[in-house]
Amino acid sequence: MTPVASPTRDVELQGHYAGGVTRLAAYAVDSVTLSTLYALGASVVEYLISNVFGLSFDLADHAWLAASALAVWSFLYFAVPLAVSGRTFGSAVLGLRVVRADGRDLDPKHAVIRTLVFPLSFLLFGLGFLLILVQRERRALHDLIADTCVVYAWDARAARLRVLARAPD
Amino acid sequence: MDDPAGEGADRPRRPRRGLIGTVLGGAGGIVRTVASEVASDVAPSVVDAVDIDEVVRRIDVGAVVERIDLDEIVDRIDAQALIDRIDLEALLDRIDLDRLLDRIDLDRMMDRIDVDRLLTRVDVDALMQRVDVDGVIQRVDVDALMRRVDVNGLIGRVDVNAVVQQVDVDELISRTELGSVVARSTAGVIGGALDLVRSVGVGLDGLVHGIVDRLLRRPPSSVPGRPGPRGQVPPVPATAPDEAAA
Repeated sequence: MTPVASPTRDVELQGHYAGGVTRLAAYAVDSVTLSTLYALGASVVEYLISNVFGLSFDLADHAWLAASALAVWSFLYFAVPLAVSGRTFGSAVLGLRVVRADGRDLDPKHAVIRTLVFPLSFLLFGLGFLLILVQRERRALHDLIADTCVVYAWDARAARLRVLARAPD
Repeated sequence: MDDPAGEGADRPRRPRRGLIGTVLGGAGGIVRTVASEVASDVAPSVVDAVDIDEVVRRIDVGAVVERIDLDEIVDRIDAQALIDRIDLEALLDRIDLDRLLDRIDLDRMMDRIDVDRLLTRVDVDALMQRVDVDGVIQRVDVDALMRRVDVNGLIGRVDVNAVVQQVDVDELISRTELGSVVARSTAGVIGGALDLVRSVGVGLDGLVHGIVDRLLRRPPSSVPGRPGPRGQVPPVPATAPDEAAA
């Protein structure tokens, strides 16, 4: 069994399909970030409406408005960074990147498609995500529909050098 | 006649001659005497009267030479004695070496020399032992030599990739200040934490997918595949490729 943390192994795995654990961790970071930013944004909006326009406004009282705002914000949160760099905040933290199935960079069209079909993977108790474990290419349902995949992509060489530099003589 | 004293026993006896013999002998003596007197008186006049040049001019030298047997004459010459009588020192002193050397065509002489045979006879080891290498090196103008070296051409012939391949980067980092430079140049604690999180995530991925492979009875793959051109799903490599992701 390989060690859990191995800088040398990480260098060799750059560009290879990412596994379910890292993708799940990236989604968790994105969810927390998205939610936090939404809450902050909603608070700012409520504050502005209350203090600038003098109206009493609570987004929680407007479920459809809140849901719509959340949906739009979620779409923007995922689609825009993916279209620009192929990464979301969570993907960047975990060193992942979304690319086309043939290895090419993700274009805006496929980034939008992927974001739109992403909720489909949650259907049937998350069966779409289980494909990551079953498939050799580790692609979820939304990846198969949008013709994308997720790979490891971070500066593992620099990370390895940092580890070597800190290693005791 | 009788020899009463016996003296004739010691003297050779003259042969008995008769009257005619005595007369002829006497006449011969007279003729010789007369002839020598005549020759001594007449010969100078005869010689003076003879034109030697004319005589010589009338002599057929060619016919005389043809009649001479040179081989016989040469056979009678003692060559060794002749050579022994030659004074070589005096002979050499009379030779003008400068004029002799001027007449020598060195190019033709060098063309006839078999250089290969000459070199095979040269003891290179003995020759090199006599060479003062330090002295030779001291006389070399290194600056002038280096000016003639095409450094760019030389570098162009060096396979840099092959050289770099042989560099042990890990050893280089551990034994130089490069590692500390890299560590200082990147984010400190946060960067280290991210490195750790990512590496742990990769390790857990391998662990989980290994379990799933066993559950699905699939051959375990130590390294996941990577995306390839459409229609060509790259096989799962047994060992990871060297290239990093784009």
